[in-house]
Amino acid sequence: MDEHSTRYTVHGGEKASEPQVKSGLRTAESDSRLTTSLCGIKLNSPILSASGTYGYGKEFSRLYDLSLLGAVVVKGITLNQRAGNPGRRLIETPAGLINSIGLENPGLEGFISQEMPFLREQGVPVIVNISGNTPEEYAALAERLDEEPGVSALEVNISCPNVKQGGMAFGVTCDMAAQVTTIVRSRTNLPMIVKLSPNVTDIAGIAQAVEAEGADCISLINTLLAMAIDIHTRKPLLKNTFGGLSGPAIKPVALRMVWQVAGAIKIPVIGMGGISSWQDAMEFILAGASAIAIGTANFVNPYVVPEIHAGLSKYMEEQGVKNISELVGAARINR
Amino acid sequence: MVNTIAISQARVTEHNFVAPNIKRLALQAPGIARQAQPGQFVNMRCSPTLDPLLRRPFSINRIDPTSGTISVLYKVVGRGTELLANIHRGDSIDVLGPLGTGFELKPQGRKVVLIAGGIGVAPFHPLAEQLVNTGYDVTCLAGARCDEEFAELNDLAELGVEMYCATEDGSRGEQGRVTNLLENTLHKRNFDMAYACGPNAMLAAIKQICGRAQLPLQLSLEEIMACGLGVCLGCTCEKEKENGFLHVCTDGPVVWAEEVKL
Repeated sequence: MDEHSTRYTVHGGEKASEPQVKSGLRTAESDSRLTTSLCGIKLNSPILSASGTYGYGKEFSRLYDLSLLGAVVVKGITLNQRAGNPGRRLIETPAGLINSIGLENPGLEGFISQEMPFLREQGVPVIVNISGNTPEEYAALAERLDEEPGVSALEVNISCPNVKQGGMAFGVTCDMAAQVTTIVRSRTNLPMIVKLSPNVTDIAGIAQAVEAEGADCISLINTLLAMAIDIHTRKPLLKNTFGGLSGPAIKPVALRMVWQVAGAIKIPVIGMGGISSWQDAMEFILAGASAIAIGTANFVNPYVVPEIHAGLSKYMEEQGVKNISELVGAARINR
Repeated sequence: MVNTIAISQARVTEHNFVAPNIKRLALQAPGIARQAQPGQFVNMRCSPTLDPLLRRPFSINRIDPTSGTISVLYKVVGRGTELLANIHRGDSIDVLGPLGTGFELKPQGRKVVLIAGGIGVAPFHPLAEQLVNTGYDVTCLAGARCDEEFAELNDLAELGVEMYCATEDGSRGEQGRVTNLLENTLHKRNFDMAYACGPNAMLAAIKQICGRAQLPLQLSLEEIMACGLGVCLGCTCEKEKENGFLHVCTDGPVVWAEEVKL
């Protein structure tokens, strides 16, 4: 068996077709049972990439056709280029990963000139994740991206735990979250997704505050604030002391928060946090997520997106469901 | 990264101890073997479970496009490699590669020196093979804590590499560190190009020594890594000449010494 012979089924329980292999690239047929829409954007599937785990799509485009995704959510962009955090950036934990990347990115104009030309060619909606040190920075990012061809929506990151100013600080109180939402809303007509931090006492309250200020969609969860200590040096392993925990370890917490938020607001929810299989993805959809995002699992299994796509297709087939949107929130009704 | 990345459930064709705590794992992975260049790496899952979660990066230690096999050489040091050590011949393992930027294969001059610290010898066999085959004189200075921590010395010698070694306890070769061995060697001989792989402290010392000797130097770096593809931005080291970071998985693992702050 060589590396091209790994089989996975495409297009549900129908004839298991051999994935097309050309220079290592695997493609799968689209499946109408998985098409859906989010804030008026038509999605080929409810599967998105989670910001910060997918770069700007280039690397994974060498492994499979990006149009399997509903949308590419790109690595977070800031107004100016950022080098990211010094020192150690990754700590593996049981079924988890703590990161302290610190929003390393080429900045708004760097992103537009270096990454957008490629992204526009992929036949998949592009959602740009934005972060600022001040509400005005978020607004400036939104205004510039509003006029950029090929940008389908913005994901407003008020939940990054790895930057000293801004970031998560905007996502932990209703007032601050509302303030950022209001100013971004006033400067863009693009659909606005607000990405929430789980590091709060009342996530449903924050979601409601953001909805009231005109957000079109909520995505959650960003990483859980976490740390690790080196017992030999007796110091925290990360220079910033805290980082963000992701991976399968956080999935039950993320699912619970998606459930709480989906029950508290009318706008759609993108669920994420530790999703590593189609079964995980299905749980989030049943909890009320209209779409789901794959994060850390992309690092563990670079083919996780096509595999989840195939698994969801098969499940639709077996369950006799015409479209996956029929199952959004189904677990809430069937209790 | 200009080659195609392949991922496979690769079959284990051999898996043996080559030293008390060092194993060589050979895999049937023709897509990787066909494309791999000396200095590149593979990112492997040590178990199919989600704990430990991340893949582990390993330098490619043998490349055989004819038989379609590659090998990695590793020291059993933690949970990942302990799980890996229990995989049997005939089992399958999830391997992604070839990844990263490899060694300069056409250095100026004729005389090159490879400097290995412990398991840092792993990427040198394919490099030495290619350099010897293209007419370079290759010398290798290998260092380890003790004789039992050496691997590959005979294999490199068989390629026609001139071997010297140093151990901290004096159990083989000169007593002392490989950095001492390098300094002593440079007093007596000239080289046109140096390559080093080993712990960061050793690489930092070698960078200084080669800097003083004005000897061009490439380093094969090791960092904690997640994706191996350049998307997570987790495996960084500081740039020497400007602010910012190199990403070991794509800018490296092999970099010119003057590019990186150690």
